[in-house]
Amino acid sequence: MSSAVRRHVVGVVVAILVAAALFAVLVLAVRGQRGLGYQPAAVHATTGASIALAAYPDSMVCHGAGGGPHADWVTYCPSTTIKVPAYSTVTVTIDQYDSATTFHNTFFAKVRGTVGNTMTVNGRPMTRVSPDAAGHTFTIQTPPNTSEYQLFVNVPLLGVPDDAPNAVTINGNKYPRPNVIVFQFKTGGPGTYVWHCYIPCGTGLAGDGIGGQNNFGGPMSTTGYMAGTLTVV
Amino acid sequence: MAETSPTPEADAGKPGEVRHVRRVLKIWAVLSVICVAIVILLGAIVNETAHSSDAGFAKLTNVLFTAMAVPVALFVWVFVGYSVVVFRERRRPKQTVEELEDGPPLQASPRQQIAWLVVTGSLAIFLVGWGMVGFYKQTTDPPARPLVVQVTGQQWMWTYNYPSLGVQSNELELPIGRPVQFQVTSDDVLHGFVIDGLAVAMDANPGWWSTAPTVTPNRLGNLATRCVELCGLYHTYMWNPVKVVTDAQFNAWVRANRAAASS
Repeated sequence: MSSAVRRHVVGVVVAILVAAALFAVLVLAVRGQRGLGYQPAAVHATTGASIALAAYPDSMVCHGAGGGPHADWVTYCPSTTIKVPAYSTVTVTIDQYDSATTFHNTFFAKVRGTVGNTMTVNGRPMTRVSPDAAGHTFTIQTPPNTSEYQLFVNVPLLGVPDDAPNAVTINGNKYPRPNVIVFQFKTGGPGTYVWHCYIPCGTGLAGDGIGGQNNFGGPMSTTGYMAGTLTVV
Repeated sequence: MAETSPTPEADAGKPGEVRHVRRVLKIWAVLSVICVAIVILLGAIVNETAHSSDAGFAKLTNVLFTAMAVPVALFVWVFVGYSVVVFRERRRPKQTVEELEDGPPLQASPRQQIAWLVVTGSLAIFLVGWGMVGFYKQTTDPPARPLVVQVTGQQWMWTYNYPSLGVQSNELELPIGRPVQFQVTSDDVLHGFVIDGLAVAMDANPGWWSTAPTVTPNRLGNLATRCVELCGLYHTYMWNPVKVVTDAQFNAWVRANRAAASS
């Protein structure tokens, strides 16, 4: 083999190795981005598959000292990363401390996908809330894979009155007495789903200034606040 | 003795010399036949099954346009590749880079230029005409009294409202053989509403209702909607199942939704 040919062969081999290394770095980088945004610790379902969440008007309770980087953002606590058992009936209790906002899309004003398509609010059964009376929604949707169990759950959370007096102190922060929302849903096989609030309860950004579509940004489009994952294990 | 590089002039047909243009055209023709056959074969496999006449036309357009583009692209690539391999300047032993000489200058050939312009221009005119005929068929004389479905995009879900039926759903169910008109909007950012199997594609603009051309499902089956505008964190989750069902199944689904809504 002449030296020129040998140089060519070495060059080709080096180029292939460099390309493979770049591809590997790219794959690792993309995999590292899985679950974009802040991912708080998971809330595991305990015995009986029960989940306890709370929706607050600010981030003072569960985002670190002083409420973290966005203390004024609405948020779910203690986590937006939820794990529940497969083939189970999961009971979810949400303490809703926030006041009401008006729906853009009344589809989300009705309870859907829960056991009996119902929920209880402070012990009273309800199947829907008035479009201007909900503070948030807890909405689970199926990932884009038709082989997954088709899971869709939508629960509108009745907001507390705007003039409700502060009656509860949590970690030194005062809030009104919450509405306690309880519902159940059934899980299928293992899989990862996303859940999200579908009421515009965030800050500007998304569509700001176009047709008046405000308040879909900030916590609405950031995991760890009003969006997260539900893993069925 | 110095080695001489072959040149395009060699195609002039001097005895014993290679006819390069003819050789390139043969390579191009063989590759074109193979690649067009592959495009037609893959087009039948890769493209989603058409569930409407518009989707059938879109599928045919996709395959046809690709098949027509392949020989044009190959024509350029084969000529460039052949030239790089055959007409490259070869360094002789002990020859420095400075001693390399340019090849013969290219000479414009009016006949070839006209042929190139006529062929590519004709292709372009054909493609424009094909698109205009398709658009005309899709938008002219739409069926009367279509089933109106209002589609709302919101990070990160589509929801559907059937105003004439009083049904709201996050799953799209359509009766076979009945014209459907999609009216599309967004509650937050720009989304793109697409159902591949029905050839429905419409931007969902916040604050605006856009009406897609009426489409008539003509095959039972399961499809999916998806968002084709990058719309945020869970953009890839923004899809819903679509079912094309019989009239009886559709009516049963409507009744079930109405019952659930009134509970």
